[in-house]
Order: sequence, then structure tokens, then C-alpha cells
Amino acid sequence: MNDLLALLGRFLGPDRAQEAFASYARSRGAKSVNALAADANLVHYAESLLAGAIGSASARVMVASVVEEEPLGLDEVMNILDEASQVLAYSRQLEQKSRELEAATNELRGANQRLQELDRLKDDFISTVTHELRTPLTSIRAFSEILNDNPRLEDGQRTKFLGIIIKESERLTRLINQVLDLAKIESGNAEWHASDIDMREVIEDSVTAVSQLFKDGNIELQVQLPRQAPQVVADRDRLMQVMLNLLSNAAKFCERRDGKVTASLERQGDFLRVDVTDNGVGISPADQAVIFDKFRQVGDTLTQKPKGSGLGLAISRQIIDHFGGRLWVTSQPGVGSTFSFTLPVIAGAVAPGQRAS
Amino acid sequence: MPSKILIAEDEPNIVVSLEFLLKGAGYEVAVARDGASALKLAATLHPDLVVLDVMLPLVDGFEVCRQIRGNPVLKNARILMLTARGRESEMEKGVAAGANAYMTKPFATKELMTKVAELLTPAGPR
Repeated sequence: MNDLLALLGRFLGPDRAQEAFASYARSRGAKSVNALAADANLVHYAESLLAGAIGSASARVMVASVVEEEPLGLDEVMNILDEASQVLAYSRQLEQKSRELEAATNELRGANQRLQELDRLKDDFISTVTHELRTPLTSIRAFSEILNDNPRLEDGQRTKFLGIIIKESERLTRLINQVLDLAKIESGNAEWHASDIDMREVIEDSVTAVSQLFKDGNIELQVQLPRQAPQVVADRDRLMQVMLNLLSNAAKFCERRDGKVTASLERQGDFLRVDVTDNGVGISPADQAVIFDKFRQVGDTLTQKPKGSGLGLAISRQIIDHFGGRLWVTSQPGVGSTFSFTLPVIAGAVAPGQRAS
Repeated sequence: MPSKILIAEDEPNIVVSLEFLLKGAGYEVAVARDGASALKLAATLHPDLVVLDVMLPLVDGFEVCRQIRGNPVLKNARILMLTARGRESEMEKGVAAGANAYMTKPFATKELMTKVAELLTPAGPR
């Protein structure tokens, strides 16, 4: 009897076990717990109490072993094993759930970090845009005030200062347009006018457009085009934008006597590949990693060349990405750089009227 | 003897405007186009005032400011920082680095000249 109470006490706590037995004794009309006989009813009652804590088969065996009523049967052993495996399975499920929770928490934490990072990048971007806008505005304001306050400036100086105001105004306009352009592309609001394009024409037109720039800089510009090329689907004006960006960059970093830039086109499997190669100052590996980022300019602050907006390559890359291609650079400092991009060709299409005869 | 002013600025056209304004007011002017040459020039010229851009190549304006402040030979140099990043944190950073005054680009030329004259007055703000 006391053994049974002790057994229950271990699983339910002594107070609850005592209380349960007391209420059982009352229902049986017994004076106290001690007056109870360890009969079949009590055993059954004890089993049912215990079953809630450890499973019914285990409860039965434990109670039986305490009251020494019957030996352990095979069935009971099997049931205990069943219960044990269920408990095990349940605890595995719990473990799995807790792992899932942990993974979800980590995911949330990661998402939060990415959001913070995005926020920081946006802040940096705005801060840089602000800086880039203020810089040309500084010259515009200073020279406007100088001209206003000095009506007797000599002609040469007046012309020079006005020229600076005009140049810096153009720079400011260009920058604003490019910031808006990039914002439109990145937000998915840019309009794309895709059509079938003969890339050779785009290259030829862009080369014509920059020919004066190259003449002024005394830089040789060569074009190597195949006799035929499959068409690509893209926005012609946007591809012109990319070519003009790459060619004018090449010219900018090619400031030496034997400056030479080559634009070439070739087919590579399912892609057309364009290379713009210069023998200019080249780009260090560290700089190669960042020049496609917004506002990352390298090398031009020391050469005293007028700066670009720092957005050209970022926009170019977005454009090539949009049409399923890739834009990248290979370069060796002191030797030169090659900017390359690919565009997927239209299966089986060759530019009309341009077939090899 | 005119006060010596060192312009540390990498934007060519802003340099042209600062040179015109400061020379026109009778100051002796030298120009450095990056932070490293600004430090070198400051060490040999001992300028009375450095007009210092924050975003300089090679060594940025804050660092130039700290190094000038850390050089006992240059302890009398006044520093006017110019920045195109109009943030208060930048201004605090400039003051912490030891700048005497701080102006945001674009600046009004008259305000700049008043500030320069103020800084070069012996009793001017330190």
C-alpha cells in the first residue's frame, strides 16, 4: 500500500498522490488512506493515475511490480517499448520543431540585417548624390557671384568663368538625368523598347558619335566587325548608351600619345560578345571589384580630368542585365582594360540584308 | 606681409574660384589637390589658414586636419573645412578633428570671405 503511494508520489508529486488516494478512500467509505486494501480496484485506480504521466502500459507494469500481483508479460513489454518509441518520436518532433523555429528566427534575423544594410546603402547613396550635386553647384554659384560682383573683369577671365558655369551646369544636368534614369531602371519603371537589333550597326553608330572625342584626344579608334552577325533583342537606344559609355570611358583613361581603342564583335555560342579594349592606365584588381558600383570612380581625381557622374557603368550593367547578358572588365594596370558584354542571340536569326554573300 | 592660405581641394573649378577670390583679397595662395600633398605643402609653407575640402583623394580632409593639429610647428594654422556633404555629423567630425570653422558647399562667396578674414584676425575664433 505504501509502496504504491510512494510510486505514485514519484511521478505525480507526494501531495497530489496523497490527495488522490484520500479522495479514493473517501469514495470507498474508508476512514483513511491507510485503511485501504490494495485490491484490484485500487490497483486499477493507481494505474489510471500513472498512465497520464508515463503511458498506460508502463503504468500497468510499474503498479504490478509494486503490488507484486502478476509477472511481466510479453505484451506489456511490447507496449512499453511502443510507448517508449512514441515518446522518443514525440521528442524528435519537438526537436525538429525547435530546429525549425531556430532556422526561422535566423532567417528573420538575416532579413532584418539585410534591411538594415539596404537602409545604410540608401543613406550612403543619398549622401553621395548630395555630394555629387553640390560639387558642380559650388562652382556655378561661386562664379555667378564673382561675375556679378566684378563687372570690370577682363574679357578672357569673363569668358573662362562663364565657360565653367556652362560646363558645370551641363554636368549637373547630366548627373540629375542619370540619377533619375538609374532610379527608374532599378525600380522597374524604365520603359524598354525591345526590337531585333543588328549589333554591328549599333557599334558603327556609336563609333561615329564619339569620333570627334577621339580625334580631340588624339586617340586611335579601331573597329573589328564580322561580316555577319545574328540579331539580338534589345533596346537600341539603351545599347547605344552602353557603347557610348564604354567608348568615352576608354577615351578618358587613354590619355597618352599612342592611345588606342578597339571595339570588336564576335559570336560566342548562343551569345554575341562585344569588347572595348584600350591601352590606357588600367584598373587595379581592387578597383575592378567596385567600378560597377554607383558613384565609384577610380583614377580620375588624380589625372585632373573632369569627372563623369560615376553612374555610367552602373547603368550600363543594368541595361545589359535586363536583356539577359553580362558586362564585365578585365584589366592590367599600366597595360590597359577590356570592357566586355554579351547578349543572347535570337535563334537562327541573321540580320536581314546582311547575310554573307 | 599678406597672410598665407593653403587651398586643399581636388575639384579644379572650385580651386579656380577660391584662388580668384583669395588672391583678389590680397592673400598669398598655394594649392594642393590631394590630402598627401596638402600635408607636405603645409609643413613647408606654414600657412596661416588652410581651406580644406573633406573629400580629398589619398588622405581625407579629417585626417589632414588631425595631422596638422598634431604638428607643433603648425599649431597656429587656422583650418576652415569645406564639405559638400551637408550633414551635422560631418560638422561635428570636423570640429572634433580640430577645425576652427566649417562651411557647406555651395557657399556664398561673401560669407566665405568674411569667415576667412575672421579666422585670420589675431583675436578671431580659434
